[in-house]
Amino acid sequence: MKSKAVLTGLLLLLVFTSFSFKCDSGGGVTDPYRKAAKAADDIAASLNTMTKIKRDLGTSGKLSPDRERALTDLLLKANTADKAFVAQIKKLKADPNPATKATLCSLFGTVSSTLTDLNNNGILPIDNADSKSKLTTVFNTITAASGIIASVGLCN
Amino acid sequence: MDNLLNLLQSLIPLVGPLVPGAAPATEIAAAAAALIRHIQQQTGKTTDQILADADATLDETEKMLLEDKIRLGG
Repeated sequence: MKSKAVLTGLLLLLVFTSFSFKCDSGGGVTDPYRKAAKAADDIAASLNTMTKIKRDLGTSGKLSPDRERALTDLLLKANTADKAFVAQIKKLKADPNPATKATLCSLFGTVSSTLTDLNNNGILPIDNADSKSKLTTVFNTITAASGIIASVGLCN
Repeated sequence: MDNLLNLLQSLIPLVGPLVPGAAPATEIAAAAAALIRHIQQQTGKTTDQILADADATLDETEKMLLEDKIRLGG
């Protein structure tokens, strides 16, 4: 019962998040960096949420210390990659040029790679089905945000 | 979208009371609610403000993860 409610809430969260990608308000003028910025912010917020859930599962014994340690390292890598990506969006926004854009695309590749690693080596190996389900649901939000960045055309 | 958000927000407080004393579920619901608030607050913000928010969130997450690394012994 508890798991169903949590899962339902988090799935609705994913739906709502997907809606947020489609609503590009708050400027009036189309900003080519806005969608990437929003998606990078969504990834940041999702990593933050996942960190809190991981901490909660770890301290309540639903995640082994070894598994939590692995997740912590992978989340830190993904967080660092998103940080570099956000910094590069700022640079590109201030001074759009091909070199800065190429670096941004390279950093997006790093973000994607760390997220794949987070899923494959951090979430999928978790034995506890309930813990895995909670983390996977939040991870789906990250995947959606990552897909938005890929689709906005910054790296075409 | 407001209706969807209201529905989502109304579900979050239900998670804890379903199982008395289920602290972990309550914590997770709170974390999910915080994520909703964060996404909701993007509306009406400039791109620069969104990027500044992302920076602040990433800094907070980094701090938590470094604390966790210490707790877990490296």
